[in-house]
Amino acid sequence: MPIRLLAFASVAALAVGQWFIWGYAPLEESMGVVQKIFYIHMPLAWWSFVSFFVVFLASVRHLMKRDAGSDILAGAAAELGVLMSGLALVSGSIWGRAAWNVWWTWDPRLTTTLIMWFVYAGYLVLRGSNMGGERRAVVSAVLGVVAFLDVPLVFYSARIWRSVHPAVLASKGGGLEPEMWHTVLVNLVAFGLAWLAMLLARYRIGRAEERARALLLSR
Amino acid sequence: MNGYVLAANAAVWIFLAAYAASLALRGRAISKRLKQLEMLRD
Repeated sequence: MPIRLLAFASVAALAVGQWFIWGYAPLEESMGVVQKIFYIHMPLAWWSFVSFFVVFLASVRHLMKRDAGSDILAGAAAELGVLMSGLALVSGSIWGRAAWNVWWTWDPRLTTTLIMWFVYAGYLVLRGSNMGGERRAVVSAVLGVVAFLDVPLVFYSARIWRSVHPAVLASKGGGLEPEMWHTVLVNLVAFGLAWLAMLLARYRIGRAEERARALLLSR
Repeated sequence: MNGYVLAANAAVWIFLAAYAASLALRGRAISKRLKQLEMLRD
């Protein structure tokens, strides 16, 4: 599917997702309208995990095959992961201020997520460094594999330790009504389409940049 | 709309739209550059 078509589909899906949030999902009793932040916060966090998993897989592939494509894919996924986890942190912080009356607390889930964000932001800085083609790609791939160690820790942190952050997927139904679950799922799919469109677009740019570099060197 | 909800939505949609727009602009610029380089090579 061409990227442009996928981009249009994702915009339409995000619009449908907004209708589900504001027109379909019931108002949560204790938090009221503030709970609606959850419907954008959770897909952002979810797709950032998927991004980092893609970084991990592409990095492993690069270490085995040494192909440029997997290096470019890892960089594209890391960029999206940092953006989405950063937005999940920001939206979560705003939600926390409304729900717990604090912008930030050193809770296990929040702390491990912040560490994950800094590790992948460092990964992007490393990728931008002037280290030289293949060496930079290999060092980045090693970091891409090692950095993923923090991701399951973030995912399970709310279950392993005592956390103020709710583990929605851990409990049966997560205390959500069916309409709320429908809204979560629709927004997960919508953000997933947007994620895929941006990942493919970023990957194509990386490929084109590599081709341009090769053409410049061959002159 | 509640101020917190507005702030969270504004932050998310502005950054996502800015990133998507930057990808579109970067994509257009690099494909133009690539065409120029390929013409020079030929």
